[in-house]
Amino acid sequence: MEKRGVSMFPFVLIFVIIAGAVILFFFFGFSKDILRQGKTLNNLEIVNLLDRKLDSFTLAKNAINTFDMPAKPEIKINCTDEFGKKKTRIQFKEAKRDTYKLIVAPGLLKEKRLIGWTLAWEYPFKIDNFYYLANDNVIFYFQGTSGNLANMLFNNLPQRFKKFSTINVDLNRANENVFVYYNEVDARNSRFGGNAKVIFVDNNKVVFFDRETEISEEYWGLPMLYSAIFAENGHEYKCIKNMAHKRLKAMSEIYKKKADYLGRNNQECRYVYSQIYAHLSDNNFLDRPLDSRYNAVLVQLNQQLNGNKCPALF
Amino acid sequence: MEINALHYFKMKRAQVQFMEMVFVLLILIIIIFIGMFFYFSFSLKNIEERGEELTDIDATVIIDSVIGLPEISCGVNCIDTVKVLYLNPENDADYYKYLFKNMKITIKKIYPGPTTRDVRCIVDNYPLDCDYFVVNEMVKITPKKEVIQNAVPLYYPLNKEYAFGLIRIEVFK
Repeated sequence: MEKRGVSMFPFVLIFVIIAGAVILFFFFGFSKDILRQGKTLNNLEIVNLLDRKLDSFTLAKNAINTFDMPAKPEIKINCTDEFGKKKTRIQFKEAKRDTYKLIVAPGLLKEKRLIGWTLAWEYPFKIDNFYYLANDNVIFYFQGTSGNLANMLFNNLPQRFKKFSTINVDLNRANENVFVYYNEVDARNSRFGGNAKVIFVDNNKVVFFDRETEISEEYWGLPMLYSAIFAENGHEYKCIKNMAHKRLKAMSEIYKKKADYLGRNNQECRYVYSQIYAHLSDNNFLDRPLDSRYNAVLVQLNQQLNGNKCPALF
Repeated sequence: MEINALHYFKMKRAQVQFMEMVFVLLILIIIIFIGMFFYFSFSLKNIEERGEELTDIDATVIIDSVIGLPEISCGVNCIDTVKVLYLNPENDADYYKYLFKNMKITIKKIYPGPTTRDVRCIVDNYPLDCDYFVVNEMVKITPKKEVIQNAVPLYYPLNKEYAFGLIRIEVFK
């Protein structure tokens, strides 16, 4: 039974309001998604741009460049470990790119102008490149230049980075700068608040001083030592070092096979090749390549090959 | 009786009006969906084109990267053939998949003319009885591919000789 005088108008109104609200809600969400995607795409392009700029360094032994980013970014570089697989992650907000490049940066990259530097890691054959990134306003303070290591560290850091060979600043105001000490006690006494990084370096190891913790790690060669100086903290350095070590093992395997092949096909220098093979198979070299004697022995054996007019290994 | 008929007629008119409105809204929604379909189709095409563009850049960059790869390089712009023989990307599949993406990379000896044709170099037939090396074949083959080639010097360490080769990169999209 239908009642008399029932007006359709309120029902139509309710229907229109509900339908209108649903449509509005849908389009609002839709446009929000599009905007978010657009931003992510832009961020992703910035992340990719940085990765491409580093790609251009791949072949260089020692190169430096200034990277002008399209916008003031907030890029975080960190070494990640997902299911035992270590990678370097370049992240800008939700946009990220994982790479196997050995990249280190002392903190958040937030300047429009970044400085990128690369050094080839040769141990003694080329293993890979280390990539160092920093904001152009980061200052590197070194505790003097006396002694081989101190002198080498200070002079090999390109002029484009702001660097000082003395530490005479108020460390509590030293935001995000890097302090390299050659005296462990001084370094320990200099741990402070803020974002500044304090490390101690000697001929074998590097020690990272945070407010609460101390992390001590070995380094294998100057490029790796610079990675300790540029790394955000001890954990980052350790992760990058492990990645580099994996690359060293892979490269050693190739050179080992090459030495074996050349030894089998070259009577004259068979003995030298077999020595190189044995050397590269030595677990000490692969597990603890710090010992510079191993490095020096390989260089010497390679020179011996050159002297005997046999094919050099590297 | 007359009143009932009138009422019935009015209700029918209201129902017709209501149905009209529903019908109009339905058409409106259909038009919106058609518009969205076209919008997404164009967006997707645009993204695909951008993807292809990026893959093209990758392929060009990768030629330089491959030649300079410490695993196979013998210095500046030169490939050590013995190292290529022993490079096995499957030993560290994740790393090389990242590096080579979906690209099949081969190197063919061009000059001096090889004694064989289309014989892959392996340890047993190297250096004389083969004419091409495979750097990476861990690829997912797709119907769409692009080929990029470039000249490259090849180094044969055993007799310290150089040859002239062609690096070929097949980018599967």
